[in-house]
This record gives sequence, structure tokens and C-alpha cells, in this order.
Amino acid sequence: MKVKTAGALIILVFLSGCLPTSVIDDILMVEAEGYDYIGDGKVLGTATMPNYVESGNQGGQGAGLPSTAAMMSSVSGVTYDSKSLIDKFQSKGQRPLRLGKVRIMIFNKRMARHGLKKELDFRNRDPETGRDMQLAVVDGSTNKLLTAQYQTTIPVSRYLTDMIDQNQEQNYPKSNLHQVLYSYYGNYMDPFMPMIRKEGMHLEMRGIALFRNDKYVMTLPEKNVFLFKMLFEKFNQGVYDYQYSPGKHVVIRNVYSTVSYKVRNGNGAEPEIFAKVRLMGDVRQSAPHLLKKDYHTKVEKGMERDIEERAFKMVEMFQKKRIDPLRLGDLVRSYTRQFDGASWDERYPHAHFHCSVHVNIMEMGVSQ
Amino acid sequence: MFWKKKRLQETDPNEKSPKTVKDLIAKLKDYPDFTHFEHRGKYLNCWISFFQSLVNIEFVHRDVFPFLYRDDVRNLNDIQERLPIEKIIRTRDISVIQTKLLEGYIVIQIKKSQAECLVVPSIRVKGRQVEPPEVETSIIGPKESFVESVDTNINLVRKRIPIPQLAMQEFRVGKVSNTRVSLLYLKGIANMENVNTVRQRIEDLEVTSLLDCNMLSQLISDNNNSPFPQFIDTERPDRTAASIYEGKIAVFVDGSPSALILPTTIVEFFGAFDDYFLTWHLASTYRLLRLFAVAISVLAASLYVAVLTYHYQLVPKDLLGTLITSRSSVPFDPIMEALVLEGMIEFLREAGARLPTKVGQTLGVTGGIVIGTASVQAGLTSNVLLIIIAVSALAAFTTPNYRMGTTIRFIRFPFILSAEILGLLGIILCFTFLVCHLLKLTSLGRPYIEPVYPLRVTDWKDAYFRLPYNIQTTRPMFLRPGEAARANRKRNIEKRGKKWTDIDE
Amino acid sequence: MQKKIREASQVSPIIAFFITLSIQIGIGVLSFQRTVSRHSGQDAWVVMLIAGLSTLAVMWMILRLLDNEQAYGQPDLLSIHRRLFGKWIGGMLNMAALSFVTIFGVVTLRSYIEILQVWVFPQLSVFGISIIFCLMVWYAVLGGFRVVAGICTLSTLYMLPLILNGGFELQQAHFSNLLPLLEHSPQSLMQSYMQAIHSYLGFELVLFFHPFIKRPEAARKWYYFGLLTALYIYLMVLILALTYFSQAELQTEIWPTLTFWKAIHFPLLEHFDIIGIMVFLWVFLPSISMSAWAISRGIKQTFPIIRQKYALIFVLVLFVILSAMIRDGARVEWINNLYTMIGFYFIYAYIPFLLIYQLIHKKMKQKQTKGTG
Repeated sequence: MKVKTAGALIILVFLSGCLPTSVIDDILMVEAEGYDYIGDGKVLGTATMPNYVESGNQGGQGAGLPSTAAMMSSVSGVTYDSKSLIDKFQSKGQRPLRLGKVRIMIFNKRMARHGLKKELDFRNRDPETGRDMQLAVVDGSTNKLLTAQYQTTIPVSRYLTDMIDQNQEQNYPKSNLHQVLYSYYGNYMDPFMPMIRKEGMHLEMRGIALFRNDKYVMTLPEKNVFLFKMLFEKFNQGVYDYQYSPGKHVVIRNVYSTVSYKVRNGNGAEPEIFAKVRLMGDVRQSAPHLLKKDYHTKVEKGMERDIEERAFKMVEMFQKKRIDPLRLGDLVRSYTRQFDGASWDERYPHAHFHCSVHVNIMEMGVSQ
Repeated sequence: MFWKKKRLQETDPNEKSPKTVKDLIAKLKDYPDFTHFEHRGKYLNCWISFFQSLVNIEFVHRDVFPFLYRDDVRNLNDIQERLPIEKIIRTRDISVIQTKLLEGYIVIQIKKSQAECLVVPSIRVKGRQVEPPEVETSIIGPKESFVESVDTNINLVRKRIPIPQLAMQEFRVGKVSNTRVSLLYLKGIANMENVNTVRQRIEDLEVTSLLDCNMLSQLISDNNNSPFPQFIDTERPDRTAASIYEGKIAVFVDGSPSALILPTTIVEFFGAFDDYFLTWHLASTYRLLRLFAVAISVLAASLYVAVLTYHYQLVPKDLLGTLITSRSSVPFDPIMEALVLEGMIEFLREAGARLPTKVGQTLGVTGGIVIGTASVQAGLTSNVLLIIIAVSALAAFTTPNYRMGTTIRFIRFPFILSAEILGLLGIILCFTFLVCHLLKLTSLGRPYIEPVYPLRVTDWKDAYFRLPYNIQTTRPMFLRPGEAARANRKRNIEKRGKKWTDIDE
Repeated sequence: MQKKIREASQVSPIIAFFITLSIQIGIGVLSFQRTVSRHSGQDAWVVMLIAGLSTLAVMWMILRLLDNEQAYGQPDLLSIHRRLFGKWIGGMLNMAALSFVTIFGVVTLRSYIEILQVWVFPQLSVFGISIIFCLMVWYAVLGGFRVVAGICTLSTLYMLPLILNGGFELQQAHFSNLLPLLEHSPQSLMQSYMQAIHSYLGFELVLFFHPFIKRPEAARKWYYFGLLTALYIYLMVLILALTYFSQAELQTEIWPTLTFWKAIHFPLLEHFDIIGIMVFLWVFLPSISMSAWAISRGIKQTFPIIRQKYALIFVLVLFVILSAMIRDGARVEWINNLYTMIGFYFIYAYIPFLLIYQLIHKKMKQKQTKGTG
């Protein structure tokens, strides 16, 4: 039996031949891809790979690579829209480029407006990349963003993803590749991504870029992001700033927020959508003398009214622009038997959106 | 074949087995430690022969010779009657005489050429005292271990099983060596089919000599092409006794300081006898820990090779930097790096085992530290791999059974090689081959990986876990014991007193 | 005519559960979500449920068939053919049945290789890797039915973590995707039915290995229990996929389970899909080795001169050649569809027919004996 096993092993060696290897330190792992549209179906692509050798080998003294050795850390070049950047840049690669660890793809506004159809299709088809990667739209040039120097020395790809991840734990809704593809391919809904900008030596989140199918339409300003997330999913770490009266603010940090929807008359000309939000939170900051005995009526009710009003306005704007990032269409579908999908696009702007918010302030910090 | 014939011809034609006692003595007379003399007493003249190196001389002088001078001893009959020694044999059988002579018996003849002899036992027993176990050490629990004498070993076991049902059978194995092999089991509890299988396998052995029970273990194993030991060898009498109580069979070989326990399953190799002295939570945790260690030991290095060679995607982002920096100065592929380090560890292990204890220990420690650090600094291997290999070497030796530990160290090499060829796919293929092999393996005809397949959940109570003793009321099912029940569960619970009915009552 | 099977090569009744379960969970489980929901959308789970329940009925028929046969000899399909249809027609039917099992084995093997090629090693040669697989299967099947059954048992154990990580999917599930319930017409449900059956096929191998189970009466409940567990697993996996992907998105995913695995990451590893595919080898292995075992045994039964170990080599060589002949993904799909078609008619038409024919045959025999006696 051992002879047979040994034989089998030897055959295994010969049969499999040589599979192409990707030894971890002999490849360049692309971590971020940037796409700048330059018109006429042409794209300026940028790819960055983190540079791990920069700090030198801690264990090795006097051997191996010199501590100054640094691999190339970014490539860029012009190609046609939808071209896989890796394949394009392979000829510029010092070592083989590999796509498996791409963590973020960013597009400039023009690219997003042009449409991301081909890129999304490519990402969905590609077995190599992860599905939890981030997508983002950049206000400005992605090439500059990816190749610039920042305060931090960790690679820009990681800086970007850390920033987006951390924000999505809080005010920003989850929008990784899975979410985007879900909305992009799904019927009666549209994708959205965070909007990012480079400000001097650092990066910042600038709201949410909203799409119609694969094309960028508008940006949701940062002050409305909380409302968006509140209507989009349940979450527990957002911060809402309520302006009680000019100069007087109350800020609450929600401990818990849920949303539930009801739909009436889904196949009618004017469907009605009811959103019911329960929001529980603690006060973070408040203008003095605002939280008195009647804060229930004054602050909570005022805040409820404020949120309802702004949420309504936000959805109204979505309807006007005929975009549906909140997936309301899919919601109506799920509540309606024999849903009439063909005419939904016509009916969507006429749908009535009702939002009722119940705010419950639970604690007010450690001082009275 | 031809060369065989030639060899046969080369042997001396005059060299044949002696036909008579005279021949035998004539043949042995040349050996300096053979004593052959005529005793001339007042009443009795006789010839006495023995091996000085084998008999207990003091005993012979003090207790045997004085009898030959007594006036009531006139012939062999008288000696046989008067000598206060049991088991005096009177025989004409030349083969018996020869064997006994070489075992340390004294042969007494009246006349030099007479065929009838009296064979008197006076064996000199020289050997180690019973000492604490060295291989299977335990922190608590009995500190006795087997020695090289089969009688002492059986004594150690019988002490723990003082009942007449403890049956023993003895065989002589080896065409030339005639080694004593003893087989112990509990009548009524051990499965007789097992006992018969063992007996038959031992009786059918075709060997010239048998020196140790691990040799015997390989000779009677079900599949001797498997790297896995199929019977447990132990040097602990307590473990042996416990196994016999369970319904297993113990085999002793004269000259071997350990017993074979059979049949066994693979998980038993990972149970230390200490487990029975700790509370069941700890014992279960340690058993699981050891199994986990086995998995680490077999897979860690090969996973490293596979992931770093083919599946860079699997490395989490926070680990990427560590891995790449530690590897950046290494000129080899991961496989070479792994083989170099594995080779070094194997050298250290082998050197540690061969050298005298004191030197070995020093060598192991200094060698490990110096070579490890130096090879990292020289850029031959990476830090991370050094840790992985060291941990996996350590993990392999958490296995209480030495033979199993070495097997585990051995089977990692096919894993590493196949990881290099096909990445993770190679590992899983290798694993599948291993599992198929284990599925086929039997120990005395009983399935080797028993509690898993065939699935017998009741046997899990003392396999991966060691559950409390009051649950251990049945013997393992795979032994098919004569009596399955170990204790009466119901009475067991009753004797512990009333079940509590409510709080504070 | 046939020798009785040695008890040493038989397995205990509970193993019937593992065999049925692990053979049913095969290639289907990675890709059925898309095909099943193509026509029936969010109601695909109803189809899956109905198809699963229908397998219980088919299993009842199969067991009935085998129980009736017990009186005449060995209760397996090949002996039944022999007895009912005589040497020649029976032999032909045996060959047909064996080719069906061959397709089952080849489809499973080739589909797994396809997944490996697409997801992990695009450069992997079908020929080489199928030889390696077949060597493995050869090594396993040489150990006889006990080892094959052991592989089935262990496969169930290794399958557990793969099924359990559906819990991650649950966190991002949109249960509103399942609404509105039962919206689709019976016609569109029927269209999905065929695809649902594709996943469930495999259990009909009971017809081949049943004599190797000790105490067949005790094994009966385990067969049903195995089918129900498979049904449960399929339903769970399907519902998770339906809620995790949006309907139109699901139609773009050929292997939804694997796509979902791409999103899982643990502290010590990312890209769970690669690990998952590797462990999935153990989900495929039972089907491949069981079919290789069944065919080689079938050859031995049909041509008693050929010993099973030589038949096995022939079968595996056939496997390698056939899977190397299926060159690309399109042909894999083609043979999958062919397999579904044959399987569909086999379990819903042929087995009832056989059961009825068996009864008629018995009646005729009784009449004859009455007539003559």
C-alpha cells in the first residue's frame, strides 16, 4: 500500500505540472484602484500597492534587502473604459501584479457620471477579489488622491478604507461592494457610495453619492446622512445635531434606532409608503438651560418634527430626481401582490411618503 | 533462488544440533563460563554442569550442594525428593536440557554419558529495580514503571488486579531466541475473539529473535505498511491494569520494559493516563488541546507554504505586513525555507535523542536558540516560519505516546510537499488520502478511528472527552467486551444520596 | 446465484442516514439557488420543499421495491432487473442504469473541477487533476463499502462548518425579499421543479447499496431522516441566498454560495471562499466514490467473471476520459441538464413502473403456480 501511495504522490507531482505561483513577497498586491474619466471612453487608471519593505527587515541585521529598498508603490496610465487595470499595468509592474487584495475602488465624479456599468460587471464576474471591498466616489482627481502625501505614512489604500469603515460604523450607511451590487442589479433600487475629498494633507467624507442605475446623479450632503441611514437600516452609533433655535443646538447620539415600513395601494397611481422610526438616544451636548423639565415636549417633539420634515424633504428630492437609494421600490414590491413593475418608474415620483418619528431621550450625561 | 542455495552450502555440515547430553556438553565445554565437573561425595557421585554467568552461584553453594553431601541422598530420585526447590525437572529430552541450561538451570547427571538428567532451577535475576516512568511521566499518580523482566512486570499488574479471572497465557517466540511472551486479559470481560486473534498471530510468527515489544507490535499489526502504530505501548503498570479492566489485552515480552495494549483506537494515543487523575473538565480540555496540537503540528507548516506560495488572498490585511517584512530578506521559496527549518529541527531532535541525556539537553536548548536566531539573522528563514515550525514541533510532542508523536512528525512532510505542488488543494488531497488510510486501518480487526466511524456516540465519553466517572458505566463498545456494564448506573446514583429537590432543602 | 454479503462488509443502519444525506448534498448545493429561482423568483423555496417531499415518496417506492425483492434474493436494482426481465433485457437495463450512475459520477467530478478552475487555479489541467481525484477514489473504494460509507459519514461532519457559516449571511439578510409569498403561477413553479430535482438526485443510489446495510428494517427511518435533513439544508441554503442577494442579482451569480463566501472574513483569514472550496472536496467525494463503487460492483454483478478491483480501474479510467472530454463550462452545463432529464424520468417514471411491474410479475407467477399446481 505504501508503494501505491508513494506512486500516487509521484504521479501527483508530475501530473499537476507547474501552477503559476504568487509567492507573497514576490508579487505586488494592488490595494486600491482609482478611475479618472478623461472623456471619449478613455480612463486614467491608478493602482497603488502598499510598500512593506520600507521599514527594512527588523530581524535581519546585515542581510537581505537594504533598509532603504522600496518597491514601486503606484502605477497609472490611460486606457479605455472597463479595461482591467491590472492587465493594463502588468507591463509596468516590477513584479507580477495581483488583484486578490483590492480593498477599495474609487471613481472621480466624471467617471461616475459617465457610468460604472462595466466596472461593476467586471467586479461581479471576478472570482479573485473580495466582496467586502469598498467603493467610493471622489470629489476631485483619484490619481492625485492616491499618489499624494498625507500626514499618515500608512498606505493610502488602508487610510481610505479605515476611514470609510469607521464612518460606516457610525453615521454612514453600509455601502460595500455587496451592497452596491445588490442595489445595482436589483430591480426598483439604486446604489449609493460614500463621497470622499482630499482636503490638504488629509481625506474626509463628504456625504453620499447617489446613483441612478450606474450613473452618478447627486450628492447627499453630510448633514442628511444621518436621516438617510435612519431610514435605510437599523443602527446604533449615529450622532444627530438638532438646531432648536438659531445658535441653540442639541446633539444626541442614538443608542438604538429602528425603522419599519408599511405600504398601501402599491399598484395604484399614487402608492403610499409609511415609515415609522423609533429613535432612542443620549444627549451628547446641549445649549444651556434647554433640558429642563418640559424637555419632553420641547426638545423631543421638536426634534421629531425636525427629523420628519427633513426626511420627507429628502425623499421628495429622491423622487424628483427619480432615484431610489432607500430601496423603496423593492419595499413596495414586497408588500404588493402581482406588483406592477413596468409602470413603477412612472409612479415612483407620485408616491406619497409618510414618516413618523418617535424620539426618546434616555439619558442626559453626567451633569444635571 | 540460486544465491540462497549457495548460502546453505556454506554452513558447516558438522554443525548440527546435538543428539545426546554428551554431545551437548562436549560442545559447551569450550566456553569459559561453562562449568562441568564431577562431584564425588561419600554417598553420591554425580556430574554437575551449569553456566556460571547464568546461575545464582550463591544459591547453588548454599542451598543445592549441601544436599548432595547428605547421607540420605544416594541417587537422582533422592535429590529430587530432598531438594527443597519446586519445579525440579527430570528428563531425557535433550532440547529441554539445552534450553534450561541456557536459562540458568543446573543439570545433574549420575554418569557423564547418562541421558537422564535432573534440571534444577537457580536462575540469577539481574536487572533494574522498578523505577519511576521516564517516557510516560506523570505529575500525580503512581510512580512505577515496567522493567525488563517479564515476571516483575506481571507482578506489577497482578498486584493491581488481584482476582483469579486475570488469565495469562505464555508463548515462546523466536526460532532461536525463544523469548517469553505473555498475554494477560480478564476472563469474562475481554472478548475471546480478540484473545484468539492475538494468540494466533503470536503463534504464527516466523522470526528468529524477538527483543522488544515494539518489534512484536509491528510484527502482529494488521497493516504493517502503515506509519501509524496500531497498538499502544506503555510503560505504566497502572495504565495496563486499567486497560485490562476495560477488556483489553496486554502483551509482555521478556526483556522489554513496556507492555502492548490491544486493540486500540487512534484517540487513545492522545490520552495520557494523567487524565484520569484530574477532574473531568480539565482532563477533557487537555485531551482536546492535544488533538488541536496534532492538527497544528501536521498542518501549520504546510498551510504556511500553501498560503504564501499560492493563496496570498487568505492573509488578513493586518498580518500581511508582518509576513512580507519577515520574508523580504529570505532568498528561498517558502517550501525551501520550510524544509530547511524542518530539517534543522529534525536534526536537533535526533541529536537530542542519540546523545547522552546531559549533553543532549544542553545541545537541544543552545542549538535551538542559536541556530534559530542565527538563521533568521542570516536571512535563511523568516521569523514567522521559525515560530510556526517551533510551535508545531512542540505540538507534536504533546502526544503522550512517543511512537505516535514521531508518526505525526513524519506525516507532515507529505503535507508540506503537496502544499508546494497544489497549494491548499494539495493539502486537502493529502488529508483525504490520510483519512482514507485511517478509515481502512484496523487494530486487531477493530476499526481504528472508532468513535467517529463507525459512529458510536457512547464511546465518546472516554475518547475526545473524559466525562465524569459516574457516566462511565459501560466499557468501550469497540472492544465488544464480554460484559458491557462496568457499574450499575442506577445504584451508582442512588448511593450518592438523595437527589436534591429544591433550594435549601 | 449471488453470494450473500459478508457481515464484515456491511454497515450499521444509522450509517444509512449519512450516506443518503452526503450523496444528496452534492454539486447542486453550490449553484442550485440561481437555477431554481430563475422562473419562480422568491417562491423557489416552495418548489424546493415540494420536490424534497416528493423524494420521500420516491424513497418509499424504492424501499417497497427492495423489500418485495428481499424474498427472491439480493435486494438491489440489478438483481431486480435480472429477475424480472431475464438475462438479456435485464442485462441491457443494468447497463443503462450503470451508465446513468456513471453520468452522476462524472457530472459531480467535472463540476468540482470546474469550480476549482474558475475560483482557484485557472491553469489546472482537467486531465491531471481528474487522474489525481480518481487515484484517491481508487484508494478509498479499494477498502470496500465500509470505507465508502466512512467517507460519507466524515463528509457529513466536515460539511457542518460550511453549512453553519450561513449564520454570517443571516446578518445581512433582507427577509422582505421573500415577500409576497406564493405569487408565482403553478406553471412557473413547475419550470423550476426540474432544477430542484437536479439537486436532490443521488438518493436513488439506495437501489445499489441497500443490501450492504445491516437490519434493513431499522435503516428505513434513517433513510427518511437523511432525506429530510438534506431537504432542510437545501431549504436553508436557498432561503439564505434569496434573502442575501436581490432577485436580479442572484440571476447573475453562477455559484451564489461561493460569492457569499467571498464576503466572509475571520480575524485570521480573509477570502473564506478558497477554504470553503477546498473543504467542499469532502462534500463531493461521497458522490464520486459511491458511484465508482456502485458501477464497479454492478459490472461484477452483470459479468461475474470480472473481479470488482479490475472493474474499478476501468470505471475510473472512464471517469477520467469522460471528464477530460467535457472541455468547457458550456458542456458542463449541457451534461448537467442531460443528467437532470434522465434522473427526472428515472425517479418519477421508471421507479413507479418497476414497482407496478414487480407486483404484476408476482401475480402472474402466483397464477402460474396455481395453474400448474
